[in-house]
Amino acid sequence: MSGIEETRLRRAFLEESEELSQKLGESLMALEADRANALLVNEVFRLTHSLKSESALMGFGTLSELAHRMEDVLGCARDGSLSLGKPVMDSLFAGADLIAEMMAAIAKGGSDADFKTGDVLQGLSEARGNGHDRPPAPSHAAPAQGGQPNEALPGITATVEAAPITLGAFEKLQLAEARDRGEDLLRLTVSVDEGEPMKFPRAYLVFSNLEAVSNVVKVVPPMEGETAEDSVYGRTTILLTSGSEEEVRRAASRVDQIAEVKVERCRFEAFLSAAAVDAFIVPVPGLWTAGAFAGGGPETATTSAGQDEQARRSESPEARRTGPVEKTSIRVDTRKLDDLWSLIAELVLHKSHIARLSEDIGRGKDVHTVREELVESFDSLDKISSGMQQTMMDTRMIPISVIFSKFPRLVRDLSRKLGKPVDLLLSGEDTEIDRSIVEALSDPLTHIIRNSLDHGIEFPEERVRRGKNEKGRVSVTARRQGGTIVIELEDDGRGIDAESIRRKAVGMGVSGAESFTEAQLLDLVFLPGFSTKEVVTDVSGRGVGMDVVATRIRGDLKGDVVLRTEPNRGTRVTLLLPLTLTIVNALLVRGDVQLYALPLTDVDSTAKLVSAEIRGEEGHESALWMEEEIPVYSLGALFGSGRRRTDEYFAAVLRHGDRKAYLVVDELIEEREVVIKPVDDLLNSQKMFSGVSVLENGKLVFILDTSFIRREHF
Amino acid sequence: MRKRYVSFSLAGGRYCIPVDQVLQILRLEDLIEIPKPPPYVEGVINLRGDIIPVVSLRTRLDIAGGEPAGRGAPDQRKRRVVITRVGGKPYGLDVDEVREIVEIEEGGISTDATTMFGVRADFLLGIAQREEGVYMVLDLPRVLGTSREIPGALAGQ
Repeated sequence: MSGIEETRLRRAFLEESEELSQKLGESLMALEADRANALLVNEVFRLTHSLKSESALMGFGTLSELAHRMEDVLGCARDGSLSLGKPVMDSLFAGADLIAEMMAAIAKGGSDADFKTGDVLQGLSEARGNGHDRPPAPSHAAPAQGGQPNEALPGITATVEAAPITLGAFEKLQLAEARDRGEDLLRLTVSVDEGEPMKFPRAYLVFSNLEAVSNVVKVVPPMEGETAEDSVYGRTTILLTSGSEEEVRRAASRVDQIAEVKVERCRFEAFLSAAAVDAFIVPVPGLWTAGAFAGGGPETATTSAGQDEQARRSESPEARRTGPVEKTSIRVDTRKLDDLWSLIAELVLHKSHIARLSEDIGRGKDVHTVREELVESFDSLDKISSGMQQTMMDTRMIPISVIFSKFPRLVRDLSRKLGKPVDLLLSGEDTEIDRSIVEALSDPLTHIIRNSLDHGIEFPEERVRRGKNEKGRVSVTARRQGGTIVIELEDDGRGIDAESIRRKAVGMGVSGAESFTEAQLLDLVFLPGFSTKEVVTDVSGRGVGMDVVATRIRGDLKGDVVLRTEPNRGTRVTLLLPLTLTIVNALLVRGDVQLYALPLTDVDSTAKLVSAEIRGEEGHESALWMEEEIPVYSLGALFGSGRRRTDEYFAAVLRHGDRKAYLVVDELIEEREVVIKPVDDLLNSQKMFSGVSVLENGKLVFILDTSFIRREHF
Repeated sequence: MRKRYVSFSLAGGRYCIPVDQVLQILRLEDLIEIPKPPPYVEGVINLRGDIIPVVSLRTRLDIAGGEPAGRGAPDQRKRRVVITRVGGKPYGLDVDEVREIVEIEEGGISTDATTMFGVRADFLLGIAQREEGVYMVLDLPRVLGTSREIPGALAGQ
């Protein structure tokens, strides 16, 4: 196998198997709640089986063996010879955890062989031995390497005779281009040996060989993304275009255990003309749209959009290079791509329109008429470009369930470990959020939930004593509110006593703590010095590391986190996050000649300040805002030559957490969207900016990071 | 092994950097001033949507005062910005004049006597002697403070 092929296979394996591994965890959770559910047993069985096959193909023997042994246990459960008691479930959970760890290690370039599986394998085999309701069937006593009885599973093994080929808009375009290049269109039907226990790997090898010598347009069943049950790959249909039929035949026949490869030449028109295409597709009522770019059913396909999210983040190149296999492909709903495609079609239309207009001018056509048409065309282009921007943004959005789905398991394990029974309520899992934010959100959310169980929720006896339900309750909800995602994590635990925080703060010498409002006191929990264990444990309620949460949410994600609590009633942590990190709604302001953007999430309101209202000496000024004394900064003083002296000032009221401040500006310009570009550290030595943006007129706008309010204050 | 270097002049002195660190050479136009820059950052240029800081090598290397007699003042028509890529990020270097590509033997860069040229020695990879004169070979990661050996080299400025 060539290096490139191996890398590709490895990447495909990782992409597949990470998902399988995640689903395995989820399905086990579901199975634990509903152990008699035969469908779930089947599902878990199928997942372990797929993991076994895929890892075996890649030579990950330790991982494969573990999956194999889990599959054995599940096989017994499925045929009714084993009941799913607690020890069996625990051993399966342990196995699933270990698989997830191995996957993580492999993704980082490590090996599954570094893991000790002895204990888990022992647990699995004991579970199988003890849980037997009746003696094991002989076939399970000595499981044959590879060969598994799943081919006999009812309902999921129906092999498709002649797989219908559905082509999306992009694939049709590929075909049209290949036709124009004069290539041949070939349909290959690949049959794997009946006796071959693992069909997918064989078919995949053929596919992979073909990709190297031709342009594979479509594979049914799919080789990437949502793959089907292994046995379905007994027959695979591959549609490809190539300059050399001979080369294709050779490439396809280089794989063992392939019974037959049938190669047929096809006419491009059969796939390209709208009428004929219908013959190949399975119509889905109500989901088809007419038109040149119609295509793509309701399925979700895997699309390599080549999005390197890592690169967008400010990580150093060294940090990015930690793993040899980077995740650079993303899953995108094909409907989003179809939307984008139709926008591109419109764009092309307008391009030729403008070209024609310029010819018109050359031919001496009336300038005013041309001008009107130009203005019209521009308006359309404007709509198209914002539509494309929106659609591209949409492709970056994924449902937050990706993270939420890990919580049931987290809460289950913690609740057992701590001896605190807890109900977890999740809602709003389908709320969509930028995928780069999702990745960064997992740790802080996990941390907050851990804290809730660790420190918030009381032990059952104590809860009963306080007149509460013996079982604790933790709820996690997500919802979209305008341009902001709101995530609330709430528990009905003991809450936090704000006054004890005040005592602690005064003791630590936090200036002004004596007169802090409750909100200000609670915000102290997010300060580094404050959330150390010693301090917080006797303050009661909140655990270690809330400062890390705050840094991630407020710093990295440009969001906000607010804590509310009521002693004996519980605690609520609210996260406010921008929909995306690349575009921000901002208030544009001017200081001297320079433009600045203040993210609207950080702007409470705008105000007019009369100079007589400003108290204190320069550098330490303050003014009243809603009966609260808040500091007054000015753009001029922060970045320029100082503030101009006038009687009246325009100011934005900034908020960062619970802190507010006036920011005096020379001009309040407008609210608008700006596209954020990273700002080099050289330009940002004071860490005052979260990015820069370039306006249409080429003017540079610095996006202000309002966290300086907090820094200056302490 | 000979390596290729882009040579340029600054206040009459000859400097060079490896050719593979250079992305592009531009006229110094449309420099955008920025608020509160470090002293050696002159501003930024907008190169096809990328915001690139422009560094004054004179200030950074502290050679503004050390001009050989009568040759210090740059000719504005010859002034250029050399766009370099260091640590994966682009930076512009404001130089008096871009001269030529020179080839230097790998062993031809001497690390002796680097303190004799009025430039901070830790900013130099070394000195290369050629027929037409002496070239100072710049250690760009250090000059731009992206070198890992001197973390925060720019922070205190």
